[in-house]
Amino acid sequence: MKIEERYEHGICVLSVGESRLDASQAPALKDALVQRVEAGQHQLVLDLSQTAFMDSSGLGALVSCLKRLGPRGNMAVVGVSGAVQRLFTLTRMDRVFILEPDVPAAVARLRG
Amino acid sequence: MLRNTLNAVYAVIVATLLFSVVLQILGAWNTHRLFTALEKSNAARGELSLLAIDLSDQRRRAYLDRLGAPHLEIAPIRAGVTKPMLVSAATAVAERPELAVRAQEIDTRLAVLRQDAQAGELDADALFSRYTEVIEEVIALRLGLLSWEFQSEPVAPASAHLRRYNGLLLEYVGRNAALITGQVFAGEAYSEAVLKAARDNLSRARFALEQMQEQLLLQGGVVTPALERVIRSYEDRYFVSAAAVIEDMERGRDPADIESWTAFEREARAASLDFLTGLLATSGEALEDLTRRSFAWLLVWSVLLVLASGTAFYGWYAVRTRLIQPLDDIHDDMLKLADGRLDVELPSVYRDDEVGRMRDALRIFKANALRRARLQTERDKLLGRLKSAYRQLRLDLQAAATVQEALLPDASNQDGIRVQGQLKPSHYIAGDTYDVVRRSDGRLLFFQVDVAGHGAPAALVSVGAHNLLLQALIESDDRADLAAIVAKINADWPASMPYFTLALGEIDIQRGRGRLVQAGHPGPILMCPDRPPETLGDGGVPVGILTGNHYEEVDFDFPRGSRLLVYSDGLTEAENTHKEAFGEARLHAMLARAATLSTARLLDRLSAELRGWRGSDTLEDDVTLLVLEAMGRDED
Repeated sequence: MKIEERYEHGICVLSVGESRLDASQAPALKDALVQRVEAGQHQLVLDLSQTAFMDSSGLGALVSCLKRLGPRGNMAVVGVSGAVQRLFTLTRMDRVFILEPDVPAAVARLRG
Repeated sequence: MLRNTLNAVYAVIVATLLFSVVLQILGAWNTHRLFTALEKSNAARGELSLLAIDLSDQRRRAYLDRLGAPHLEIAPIRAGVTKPMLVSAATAVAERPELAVRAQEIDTRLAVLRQDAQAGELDADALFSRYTEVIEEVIALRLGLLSWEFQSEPVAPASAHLRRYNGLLLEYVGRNAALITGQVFAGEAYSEAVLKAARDNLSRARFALEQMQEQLLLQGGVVTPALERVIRSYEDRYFVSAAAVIEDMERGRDPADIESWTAFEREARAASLDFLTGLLATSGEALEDLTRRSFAWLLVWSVLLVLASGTAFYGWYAVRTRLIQPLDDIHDDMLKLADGRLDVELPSVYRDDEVGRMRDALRIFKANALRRARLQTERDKLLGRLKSAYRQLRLDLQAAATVQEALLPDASNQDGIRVQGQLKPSHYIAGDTYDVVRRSDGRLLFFQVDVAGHGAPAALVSVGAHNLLLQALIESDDRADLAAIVAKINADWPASMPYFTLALGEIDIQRGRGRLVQAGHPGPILMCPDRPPETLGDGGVPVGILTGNHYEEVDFDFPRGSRLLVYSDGLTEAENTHKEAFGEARLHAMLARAATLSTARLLDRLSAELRGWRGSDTLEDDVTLLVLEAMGRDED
């Protein structure tokens, strides 16, 4: 799975380079996210601006990560649109994850 | 083809080589034959010279005998060997048959002449002229041979001329020896005619000697001691004394010094004979040497021919047995191997050359082919096991699918509500499920579940969720809070299980109302008569994803003639070949067009649309459709 990691103000920003996040990609995404959490990253920004489709497996991976972060951590999802946006809305995950239009906004939000 | 080219090139080279050598042999053979002929001809000419001298002596003896004059006995030079010599000369000049005929004639005439001479029927002059004719014939024959020899060289012309004039010299001297001696001892008056002949003979002899000297000058010959002696004995002594004798006789007196003349004549004759013998020996040896050399060349070329033929044959044999045949064998073996005949026996003889390397490569090829065949066999076995396992797995899945299908409600039409659904698993068994529960008061509860993920795990979870929901609905009372039921299931759902989306609802046909709880499932579409299709609900958190969720109930009118389509996201997310999703908008438009169709036709149309969109019968995700229809009063 194509994923890019960078840090902005100490916050880990992961950009997913896949256009589809389905059952074939979900385990790898979950591993990548959990790995960051276990490495001590409690605040994550996930950039999904290149992803046009996500199914329940992809959403499951994101939720697993959120559960792993627990009450102390936060996760912002950036750049969702179209089908991905609709999935977030339908499942009310837009109320669970912090959704921001771009990375600087998400970083600013997480820094409080 | 390589072998044809090789054969052709080889044949041309060998043919050229053999042709050249054979040409050389033919040339050497012709040269040798010519030299052999020249040697014989030369020998024959020598014999003829000596015969002429011998005949000259016989003529002198016979002439003087006939005149009754005393004469010196002269030992015959070539008596009795005439015939074999003539035959030899005839054989030598096979190209000139008339010479052989002439030789035969000379032989015959000589025999007749000898008979006539012995019979005593001829007088002295007749005898003399008959002998002279034969001698002239002999000289003419000799010249004939010489002219043939000249055509084919390489006899030294100077030597030939010297021999010729030396012969003439001897002949004229011989004639005079007979004539003058005959006159001296005849005891009569000297004959004018005879003396004139003697004078002429002397002139001719002088001329012959002059010619010899001239030839020496012209041809640049070497003056040997023998030739020197000839010249001296004639010029200094014989010609002088002969001229004196003839002059005396012409004046009618007896020659003053007949003894000196006789002595000088013998001396000159001996010198000429010596010279002739020397010349004969020299030219004979030279020709013999040439013949020997030509024979040596003939031998050399013949040996070369044998060697070249042998080499050519061996080369052809070697090319055939060491190159062409092995290449043919390799070609055949390769064809057999290519044909899959791996039991072909390859030659095991080691060869350190190109053919050997090709054989090595072929052996490696065969070993690889054998290994490949072994691997293929193993792979085939493995594939067989895999196929068998897969068949078993598929049978299991098909059986599971049958079981899963049995869990789903049949199409029904009861209490004014028609229920019809269909489930299309993406792969045998689905993570989707649905069911309905009819209450005794005519109300109908329905649910549709879509477990995250696909395949067997999702199918198992869907069966669990199905039972849990069915249990909860059966246990619930008439006016149960649907949102509370969902919240309870969500709270009880094990965190280790995949989550699922759910649409749970109730239709009250009597009151024409419906209610719905939506947990992450696509909003069902309500189709009322004379109204465009409408999506119900605005979402909700899926069951089992987070704890402590709050769910909302949505109420809606459901008059008679209305239909509610509950579907899983496998329908709207189905993609065509351009990765474009079917989408909600397209679904709404399609439903609007299909408003007048019966429920069964509607489901068929939906399936057909989906198939058309996908371009095939395959699915990425399970597709579940459930239609609830409030029947008109007359339809009940």
